[in-house]
Amino acid sequence: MSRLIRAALRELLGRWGGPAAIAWILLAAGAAADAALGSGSLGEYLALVSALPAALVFRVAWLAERRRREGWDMEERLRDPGGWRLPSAELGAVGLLAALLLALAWLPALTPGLQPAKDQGSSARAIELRLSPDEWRLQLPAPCPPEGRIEILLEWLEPPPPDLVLTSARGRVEPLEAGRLLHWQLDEQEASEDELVLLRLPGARLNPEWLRLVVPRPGLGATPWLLLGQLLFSLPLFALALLLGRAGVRAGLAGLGALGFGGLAAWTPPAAPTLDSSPAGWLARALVAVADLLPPVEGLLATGPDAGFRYGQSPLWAVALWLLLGALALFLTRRGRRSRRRER
Amino acid sequence: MAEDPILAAEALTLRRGRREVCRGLDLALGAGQAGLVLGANGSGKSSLALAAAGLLAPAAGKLRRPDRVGYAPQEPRFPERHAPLGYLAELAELAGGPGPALAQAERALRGFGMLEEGRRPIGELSRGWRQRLNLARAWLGEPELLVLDEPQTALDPPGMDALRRLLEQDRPAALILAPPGTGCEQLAPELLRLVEPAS
Repeated sequence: MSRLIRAALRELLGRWGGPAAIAWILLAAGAAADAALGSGSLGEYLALVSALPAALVFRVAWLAERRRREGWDMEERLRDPGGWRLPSAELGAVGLLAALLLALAWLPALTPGLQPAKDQGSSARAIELRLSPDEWRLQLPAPCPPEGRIEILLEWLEPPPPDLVLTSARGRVEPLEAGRLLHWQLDEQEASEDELVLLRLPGARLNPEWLRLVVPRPGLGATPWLLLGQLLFSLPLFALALLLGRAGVRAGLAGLGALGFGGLAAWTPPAAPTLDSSPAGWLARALVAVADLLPPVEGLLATGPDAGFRYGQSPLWAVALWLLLGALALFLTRRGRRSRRRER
Repeated sequence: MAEDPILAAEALTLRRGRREVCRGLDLALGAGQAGLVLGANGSGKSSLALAAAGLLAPAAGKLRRPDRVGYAPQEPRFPERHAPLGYLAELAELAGGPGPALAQAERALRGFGMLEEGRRPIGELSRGWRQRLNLARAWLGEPELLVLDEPQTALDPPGMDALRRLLEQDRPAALILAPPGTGCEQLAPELLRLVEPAS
């Protein structure tokens, strides 16, 4: 098996693949650390690094297409009745290569240049506010990390009374200082709900422009886990690209299809999307339905300035199910080979 | 007919797409026997070769064949940037056969006198050397049955000699398919079938 893996690795890397990947990592580190170019966050760097596994998705589809043209499919049918050796070696090679590149990508994250002050900051998302006569209903975005806090600013139409407190519908009470931001630290139960209900204070207006959910950004210690998440997220996409490529789909389309599938898995659709009955609406409905069916693995792809909202948000069962989908794609690759033999 | 044949076809019908290329064919090949199937262009020889190799399912009739078949197609495809030695070693590993993969590859190439050419990229080989590689690939891993579709194509006299010598030395069961008058009669003295184009 090792010879097959080595051969696939050589083809995946090509002559310039290694230097190009290293150059990209250095470029990503430089761009993310540069205040003028990037946001100076680890999430920004990881977003740029995620182009590497995405490129490997296309590369493995290209490998499958090229090997089909070179007659490997015939040799495989002649020499490997089980039909698992070649796809396993190809998937092993691309997985190994992705692991190597992502491990390399860890090194720049350790350098002082990629530890800007902003990285110690936080990610924020706006919160929708709904009003009722007696309550402020704060619609929390999903997923909502348990360490998140809500920043609240109240404006007063008349001088506020002393000993101000803000009370939730559940009875939790927080002291409040007029004219200053209140940091409402969510407890576990509040974080798990879609809505936080606060009792309105007479004479006060909750400023919706300041209302936001804030979570700490993952620190540099989280980098290995964030990179491992990218690897785990990519493995089933490699298997899918391989499946499509071996089934005769052209490499570009196979890569796009696999990445599109990954995009759906990383997408958290709105809870109740308002869609009309136009063809575009039906298409959006279908996409939402597929995204709802897929395990919630967006936490594995915690990248970008708001990486903190997704980091650690994928439960273990979802990751296991996601990897099982990859194993299923590998199995279907093998079965597809058999069905083609019957058709010829 | 050979007793306890390694390859046996009974009333075999083959189709390529909707077109019937072969109908009601009977054939038997025993272990250690080299049999020749002669036929003009379009008579279904390549389809028969594909079926014998297990790459084309019969449309009707019965076909019994061994699991390990070495197949040399009429128009071989290769990974052009690979060297023959490494490529055959990879195929040996793909088959998971006994013995070190590299030794199997060397043995197959040596049989066709192309060990020295085995380190050059396949894309740089001449047509004759590519045909030798095609045959060496079929020989790789000691298959139970060899299916050689027009093996004489582009072979020079030393290449034909090497093929004849290996058939005599190794005595594999071999099904050779070729048009009449191409010199393949000297490879397999036993004429199994003379196939006609399906009407």
